[in-house]
Amino acid sequence: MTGIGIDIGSIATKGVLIKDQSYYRVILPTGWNPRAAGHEAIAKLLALSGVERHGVESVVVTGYGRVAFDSADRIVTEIKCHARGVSHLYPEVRTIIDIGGQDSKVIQLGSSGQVVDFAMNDKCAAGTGRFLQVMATALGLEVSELGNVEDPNKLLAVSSMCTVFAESEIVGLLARGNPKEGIIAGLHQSVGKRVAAMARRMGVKPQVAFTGGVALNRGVKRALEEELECSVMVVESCQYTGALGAALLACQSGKQ
Amino acid sequence: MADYREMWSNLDMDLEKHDVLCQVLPEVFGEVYLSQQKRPRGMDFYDFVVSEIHGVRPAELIEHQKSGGKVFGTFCVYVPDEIVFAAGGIATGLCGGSQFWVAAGEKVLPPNTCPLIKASVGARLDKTCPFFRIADMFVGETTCDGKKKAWEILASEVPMHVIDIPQMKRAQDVNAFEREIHSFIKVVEDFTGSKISADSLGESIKLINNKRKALQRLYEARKAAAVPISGKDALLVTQIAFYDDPSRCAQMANQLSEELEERISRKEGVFPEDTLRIMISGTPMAIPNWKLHHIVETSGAAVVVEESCTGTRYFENLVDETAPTLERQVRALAERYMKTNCACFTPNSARIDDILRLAEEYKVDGIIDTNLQFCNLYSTESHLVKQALAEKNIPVLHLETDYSEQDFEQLRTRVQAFLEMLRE
Amino acid sequence: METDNRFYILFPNHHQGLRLSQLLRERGIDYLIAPTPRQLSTCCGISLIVKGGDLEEASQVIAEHEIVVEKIAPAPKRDGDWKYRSC
Ligand code: SF4
Ligand code: SF4
Repeated sequence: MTGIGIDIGSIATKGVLIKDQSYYRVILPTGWNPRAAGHEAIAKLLALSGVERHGVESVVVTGYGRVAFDSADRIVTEIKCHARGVSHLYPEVRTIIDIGGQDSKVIQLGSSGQVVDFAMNDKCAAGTGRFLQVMATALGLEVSELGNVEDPNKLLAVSSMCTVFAESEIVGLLARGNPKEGIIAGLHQSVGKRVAAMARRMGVKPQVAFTGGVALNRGVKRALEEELECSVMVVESCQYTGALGAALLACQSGKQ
Repeated sequence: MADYREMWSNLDMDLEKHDVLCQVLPEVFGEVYLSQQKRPRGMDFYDFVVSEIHGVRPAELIEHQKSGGKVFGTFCVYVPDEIVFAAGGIATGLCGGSQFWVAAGEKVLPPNTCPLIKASVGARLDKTCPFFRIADMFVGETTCDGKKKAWEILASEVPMHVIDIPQMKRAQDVNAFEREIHSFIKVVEDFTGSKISADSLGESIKLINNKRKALQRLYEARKAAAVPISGKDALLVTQIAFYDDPSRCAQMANQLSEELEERISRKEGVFPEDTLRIMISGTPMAIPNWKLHHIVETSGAAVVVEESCTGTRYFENLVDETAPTLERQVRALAERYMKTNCACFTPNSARIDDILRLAEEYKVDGIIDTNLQFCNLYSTESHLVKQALAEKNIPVLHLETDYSEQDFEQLRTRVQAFLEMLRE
Repeated sequence: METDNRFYILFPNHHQGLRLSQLLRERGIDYLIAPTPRQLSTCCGISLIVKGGDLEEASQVIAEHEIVVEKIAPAPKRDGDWKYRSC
């Protein structure tokens, strides 16, 4: 059984190919053309694994760019794919917190890894990767640096949830000579609060897994643990869980 | 391609701004509506109305005014149209459903106001909707706080009458509403200069009941296992019912229903077999707000019923036609209108009963309970709706959205994930 | 109706358009009543959409019944996928 899962996100496109017991994975920037990124991911997976295109029984596509992609056998939402991917790696997980570039979600899993309920942020960017991206720019840092630079002991509360207000708030904090490390810790706390509130409305059952691009940020993990008062496990190679779930679904369904 | 520019400039409309709206509508209607497959032929009329949306009906209303008639603009299904028609007036719905008007409303309203109110105020202030220019009198009502204050802003533009809608449903509240209808009669009589009699009110009660019956018949057809009409098309019929001539509305809806009934007898549906059946409940969707229906129906599910004011709340329950005197007719009106279950009332448990009943009647697989952003009433009530549905094991997804397109992909993901859950 | 190879028939007023729709219906020719796209005319109002394959027959009907037509034009092409817009 050979299946491909492609997760076309707003920033990066991830691909996983499963051939029997072997897993192959690729990641590349989505750029301005999600459809082309999807095709490129498939081509790279084929080259990496040495599998021929006609040897692939099914391609499942997910992620923000899924609707634009034209040669998938099945389109599945990232919610279902994440659930599938995570529960494959960690069957004991019951709550997934996924923070990506554009949105954040909380997914509740049943005992067989099925989606029982989910919540997703509304229109605004608070509590998403975009929020951190904007703040990193305002601080003159790369978003990937934030997690290492923060210092929770110097935490300065950032009260605004709204991206626009928070941006001017931290510019003000900086101007008053406050340390970056503390401001960043405050930003992480703000994201954690926001997402934890969404999770609590649905009910948080252990074990809690943390996925999505922002899961690489240690500071947000710390903040989530403090807000939820439980340990949060960062999923290994968490950027790929959506694509992995899609690939597993592809293997399961075959051509439809 | 009639040229209505002269009519519009006589109405003192801002032609340049209005033109921007005219540009977008054909494209959106083409993609959202005309791309659908197997549409009933009876939708021709509604496609026609949309194509001439700011032309044909406004021209009719102006004709009516030229012969001395008055036009009343309304914003809520609690306003008894019967009174207006009994005095020889025409009532037309004015609720704004266009994103295009929101910015103009935001100039005077707080940002955390619901888009329906923003669009309604904006349409008037920006001079971009002929209906808002034509109406001689606006009829507001004391439902939500946002609307109550909006009336005060609009009152500086147009003669405004506000109907006091009770907030509870005890016997004394029905009595109070009955008195309100009497005062409304007085206002309408003074404004039109014509007296309302038991005869004329009896006529208009029948007129509006017939419209309701026709829409009920249409919705009845949507209960069929093979749905003979898309949710988008049915929504359009209800949306247009708000401002079309009531007897033509009844005639067209009956004609369409006839076609749907034939389809049912042939077991001919617009969607593949075992398509998921979805109910949408919550706040109204004024024309041209088709966003949520479009998402659901391009994600492999069918909307089979709307528990909303652009749905069952508009036409369920008839007014008793046998009341012999004006007094008794007004009583009958009060009783009928007070059966409508809007979140403005407390408690409003009858709405939850409605949702449960409709879920059964229309055999829905899941419910999307939705409210316009910043509608406190419906978003608070959604908690109770969710609770009641959980007890009955009916899956529900709550969505809050506005008229803009920014959250389209987000909503689509949520709706599709919900549908995936239903399929599992 | 399939979405490619469509033609728009434009009229000076809606009466002509409605008359033609009636006649096409009687002849069993598929059509759609549609708002006129801005690319084809600066005036709003109804047009009829017919399939390319039916255009000749529709033109016959127009000639036979002396329907006044403003112009007939291919449906404007859209590039790429259509993204939802609110209006
Ligand atoms: S939702 Fe309530 S306030 Fe709004 S139109 Fe309906 S009944 Fe009136
Ligand atoms: S949707 Fe809610 S806030 Fe908006 S007008 Fe209706 S009741 Fe008021």
